This record gives sequence, structure tokens and C-alpha cells, in this order.
Amino acid sequence: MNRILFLVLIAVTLQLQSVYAQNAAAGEKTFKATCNACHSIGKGKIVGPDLLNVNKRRTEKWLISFIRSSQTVVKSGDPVAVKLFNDHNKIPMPDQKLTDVQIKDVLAYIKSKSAPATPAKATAATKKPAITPPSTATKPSAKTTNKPTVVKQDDEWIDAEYKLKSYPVQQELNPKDLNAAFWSKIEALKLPVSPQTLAYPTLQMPSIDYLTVKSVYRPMEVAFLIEWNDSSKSNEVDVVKFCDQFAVEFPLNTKVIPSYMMGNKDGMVHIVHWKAIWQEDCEKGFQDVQVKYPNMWVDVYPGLESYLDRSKRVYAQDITSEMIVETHATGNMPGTYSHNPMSQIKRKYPVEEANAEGFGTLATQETQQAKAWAEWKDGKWKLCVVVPVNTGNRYKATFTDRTKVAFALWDGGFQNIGGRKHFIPWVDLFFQK
Amino acid sequence: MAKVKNWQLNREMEYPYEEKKPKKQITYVFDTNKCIACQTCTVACKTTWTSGKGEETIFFNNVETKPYGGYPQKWDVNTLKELNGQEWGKDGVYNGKTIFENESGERVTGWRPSERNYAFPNIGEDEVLGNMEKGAFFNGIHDIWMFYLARICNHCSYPGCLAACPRKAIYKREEDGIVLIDQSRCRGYKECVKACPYKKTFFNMVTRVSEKCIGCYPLIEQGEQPRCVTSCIGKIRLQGFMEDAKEPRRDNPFDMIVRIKKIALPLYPQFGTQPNVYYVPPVHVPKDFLIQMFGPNVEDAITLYRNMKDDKELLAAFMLFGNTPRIIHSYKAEENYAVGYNEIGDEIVRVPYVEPVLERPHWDAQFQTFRHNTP
Repeated sequence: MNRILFLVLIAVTLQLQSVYAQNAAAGEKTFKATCNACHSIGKGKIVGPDLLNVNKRRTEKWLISFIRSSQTVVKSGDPVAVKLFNDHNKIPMPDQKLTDVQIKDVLAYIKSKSAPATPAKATAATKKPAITPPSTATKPSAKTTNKPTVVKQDDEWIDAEYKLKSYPVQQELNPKDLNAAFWSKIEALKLPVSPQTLAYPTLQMPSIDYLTVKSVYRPMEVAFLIEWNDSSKSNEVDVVKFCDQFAVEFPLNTKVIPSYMMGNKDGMVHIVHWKAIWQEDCEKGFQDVQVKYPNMWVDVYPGLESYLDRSKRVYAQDITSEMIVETHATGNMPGTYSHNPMSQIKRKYPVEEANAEGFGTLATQETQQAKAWAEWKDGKWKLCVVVPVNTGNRYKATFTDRTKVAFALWDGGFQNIGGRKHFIPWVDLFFQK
Repeated sequence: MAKVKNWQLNREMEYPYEEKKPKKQITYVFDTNKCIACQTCTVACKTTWTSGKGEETIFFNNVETKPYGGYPQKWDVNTLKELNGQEWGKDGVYNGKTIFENESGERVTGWRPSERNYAFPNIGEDEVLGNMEKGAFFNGIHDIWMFYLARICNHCSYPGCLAACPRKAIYKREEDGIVLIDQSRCRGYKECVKACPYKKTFFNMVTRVSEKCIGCYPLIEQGEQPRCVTSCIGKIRLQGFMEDAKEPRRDNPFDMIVRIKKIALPLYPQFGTQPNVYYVPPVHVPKDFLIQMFGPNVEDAITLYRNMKDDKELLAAFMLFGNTPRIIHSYKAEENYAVGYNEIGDEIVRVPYVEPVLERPHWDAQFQTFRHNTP
């Protein structure tokens, strides 16, 4: 009985398969450009739910209205929508400006990706391999991700909305030379930025509209010149102060394009992160306690008594963090003692190279080669970041003539920090001859 | 958001993670009636854990004078304001919102202190509520009041700091429920500083990451109570463990005090974090204020406290305070002694209900002299 029902289902599925096939390709493009950052098909929950077989769980009408404006459906009191919203930490799915046709294409794509997973398992049991849909022969199904990838170079490449050209230069890329002649010959690309609302904590009050970017390259280096408006220069360390920051992100390679939002599992990204507090450290020295609070008084830092010299008027508050770090007396500085990269006192450049495989996974790289320098003038940051690429280091970006870059901006004056940021999704980066 | 059971609120509440109980939960009882704000605990903690560069204004332990004192300044009032009013039902069910239940789009409702809020750790010290009327005199009950509130991290069952950390750098230890910040993983986003309603996570401006009370875990691991507990000269504190997943045990002093007799109450349970430091409320403070601070069971707790001398089982539990550095896992009320035992049942402390009185004769026959009490 079950088998008959099953075969009927297969027949229906195969029939539908052909109907949907032509739309699935268009849907794939839309899915990868719009949905990929938060949803997988059969690879588990990212930010939003796994969409495997979503076509079986919900009606098309429901899906279209939810994709258009999830919050409208939630606020209407729809129990399914409310439960989904609550189950996913009340992160609202952003409204999507897609046409009915586009949404239907996406659903067709999800359906085509969903179909093989369940029958494939069942077929193994019923020993009828012939009914495996043809699409699985060329596309890796969700179940085959553990095996060596069959995806060819750039197979998953989907053109992005914005394209950035990088031009070759001969001379050394010195980030401190913000006014290098070659920059003036290049036209800047203006990119609109959006507030991060996909994962907690979200940015509720966006304060930056856009940034402009130029790019040049040399062997094993890509440089960006970024400019954005920021009325307040935020570069101080304190409990209630946050600093201006910028980050540029690359996929580790162009074979698989991961989520532009911090990458995803098995889709690592290479991130270069600049912070205004580090810029201040590099320019004026470490922002120590006695620098920030010149009138401070400390009786004693236990364990550091040997640093004191009353005859030379060296008191506890004169002991600098640098002195402590240099003499490895960091037992009372837990972050420094545990080699937290945030607690690093001296930096050559105000920048950090890191990797990520999803939200909350940012990890500092062992080899730090990125360079950066910035200047704040008349309500505007101008920043040059030089990123090491194609160096053979497996944690740094590798590509041939094109790759993708994504950007993030933090406005310290508006308490931007961590996920409270502005972002720009993947931009295609082409290397001009 | 998951649904978790918060026994202090007598209801389920929302929390970003599923309920997962530690094997045992570190628990403290503080008797506010005995605290004299000598700050020995504060200094013991400060010299042990936060005497480093960048920790100048960090106090994992502090003692503040209520109603006006607070470190950081007005921490409780500011967080209560964010909750927008709280209400307890007649059956002891909390009907208001917890810090995890909000419409703001934030995971945790929180107030972020400024550096100035940390600048006066003992502001409001010894300030009383109101003024003495001209001609007023002591009549058995004081017209005006204040009391001392000793505070540490509550090692909450549902920590706000842990819920807010986007990097999962904060964790609750399975073996004893101590909440810790991974010093190598934290990136100093300061989400926890804002989210902890008790303001017991701190940003270190030199290491640029956040720190918090570690429950003196190196001592706990050796079966000893934390520094702030053993250094308390007023013997107001006791530290041990509870297991709220199990039935309360009458021979566990914490189950007896907190769960069976309910004489010690959580601090601001309405925040919803299920804090694990329990306070015997001060007996002389107006009930409204105490209910806001310790929940609806305040009056019963005070009545019980006033009559404790008649309840030997309860009295015995209180006799254990400050009399041994070892952690007491079970106890017994003997005829004349309260006896405390360690984890494997060895006796570690024996305290008489009544201190023995020794009389020294005024005349010392050996040295042929009169004894004087003159220092």
C-alpha cells in the first residue's frame, strides 16, 4: 500500500519536475543573490530555517505573502508565522522586493533541490535507482557534501548587482600614502550600505548611507581606497564608547561563494578589519589608563612594586601597560595573559586579518600581513586597506581574474559594534589587465 | 526563543537557549541584617582578582548603602525603568516582563552605564531615607532607614550576559553553574555589560575585553568557599550548592534556607535571570521597598527570621555562616551544636548554639596580680 502511494508520489514529482525545470535556473540566481545568506536547502538552519521541502510544508500563497513581508503576516496573528518568528529569536526576515514570478522561480528552485533528498534515500531502500531525478547527476545533492566537491571552478558564480574594477599598479602599495597619484586616475564606485538585521544583535539605527571605493592591485596584494561620511570621529576606548570600524571580506576561493554575512559552514571568508582605536594607538601610542584619565591615582598594582621609584617620582599610576607587557608581568591582565588578540598593545598597522565561517565565528589569523591607514577630515573617513591575496596561505583569499568582496562599516558615534553594523553584500571584483 | 521554567517567578519565561541545568548550582546566602559595610569582602576580592592595570574601577564584589547607593550608580533603578513596571500576582506569579521578554528587537533589555557611573563605587554611603524631624528621638523603631547590600555576580541560572553575547564567549560551567567569560574568546563588544541587569560584567579598557566575578572557582574546585565569603568578619555569608532539578534536601543548608523555609530571597527576581545569591531581607525596612527588591515573600521571611531562635533546624543552618572556609554540603541540628559536613560526609565544622562562657577570676593567683580589661 505504502509502496503504491510512494510510486504515485514519485510520478507526480517527476511530472512537476519538468514543469519547474525551466524556472528553477532563474530561481537559483535569485535564491543565491537574495536568500542564501540566511537560508540553506538541506544543510540546516543558518539564520532562518532550512528551506528543504518548504513547498510541502506551506502553500504557495502563504509563502509568497511571507516572502513579500514576513512581519505583515506575523502581525496578522498567523499562528505559523508567529511561531516561526518566535522560534528564530524574533529576527524579522527582511521584506523582499520580488515579483510573483521571481518568487515562484525561487520556489521552483527550492523544490528542485528538495526533491532528490527524500526520494534518493527511499530509492536506496526500494532499490530503484532509475527514478533519481536527472538534476542530481550534475548537481551535488545535499547529501553528498562530505564527498570531494564535484563543483567546477566558478560553477556557483552568480553576477552581483555592483561591479568593481581593480587596476594594476607597479609601485609598492603604501597605505599611508592616501593621496598616491594612481588613486586620482580611478573613478570611485559608490555603494549603498544597509543596516545589519539578519542576526542578533541588530543595527536598529542606521547612520551611514553609502561608501565609495576604488581598487588597485599588485602581485599578491589588492588595495582599496574607501571613503565614507561620518560626522564624529570615534576612536576612544571606554565602557560606553564605541569606535568607527571598517571591514572587507573575500570568499576564500571562488569555487563556492559563501554567505556574504560572515560566511557559512564550509564556506570560509577572509576578513580584514580596521578599527579607529587601533588607528589612534598607531598614531599616538596605546590609549592607556593614565592617558585617558591623567588625574588618576593608584595606590599600588600588586606584583608591580619593583617598578616604583620614589626618588625618581615613579608612582603606581606611572606604570604603563607597555612596561607590564614587555616584562611579561601580565598575570593581572587576564585578556593579555590569555593572548587575546584584542588585548594586543602594539600594532604596526591598525588592522587585523581574520577568518569566519558564520556568525560569531570570527577568529584572528596567525599570519598578519594586511596593512591599513586612515585619516578623518571634515566629517569624512578616508581609509586605505591593503589585503594580502594569492599568497599560498590557505586562510587568505585565492582567485584568478575575478572574485567577490563585501564590506562592512561601523559608526562608533551611534554605538555600532559587532553585529550592529552597516553592510554591503557581495560586489564582483574584476582585475583589469 | 525557548521556553524555560523560572521557579522564582512561578512561571515559564522566554530565554534564547534551551533549559540545561548544571550538575550542581553555586549558591550563596547573604544575611543583610548582619552586614556592617566594612568592605572587607570588597577588598579581599579586589586584591585577589581585580588589582591589575585596566581594572581600577572594577569591583566584582561591592557593598552599597540602600536606598541611595549603587555601583554602578543607580544600576537597579535604571534597569527597573527599562522593564517599565513590574507586577506580582496574588499567587506569587510574576505578571510583568523579564529582561528577555521585550518588543524592542533586542535580545535582552538592558541599561548601559557610562564611565562616570563606575567612578564612585560607594556613592550614597550611609545615607538614610528622609530627614530626622526636629525633636525626634529613638522610640524603639527608627523613623528613617537605610541598609547595606553586598553584591557579587549572581551566577544566574539564565544569565543575561550569556544570552547577549553574540560570540558565545560566556558560558555556564556544567560542574558547578559558575558563569565565566572566556578571556581568549571575548572581543569586547560590551553586549554583556549592557545586558547583565546586576551590572556585574565589566569592560577592561586595557585588555579591551570584558571580565566578571569568577566565583573564586580555583577555591571552589578545592572544596573551599570564595574569598568574599571567608573574609566576611560579620559572618553574613555562606556559599554552597543547590540542585533545583531535585527535591529539596532537608540536610542541605541551602535547600533549607532558600527552598524549604524561604527565608532568603533572590535579588530582583523580576529581571528573570534566576539569580543564585539569596538575601535575608533587612527586618526594619518598609515592605514596599523590600517587595520591589526581593519579591512578594518578604513579610513571611522577616517573620520567620524574627522567630528563628525557636526553629532549631533553621537556626542550625544559620550557625554555619562564616565558621569554616570549607564548603558545607550537608548539616545536622544536634542538641547543642550545628554540625556541617563536606561532600563525602566528613564533619568539617561544629558550632555551639550558645557560646560557652568562661569566667576569669579578677585575681590571678599565679602572677599575684589583678586582671584588667584595659587595653
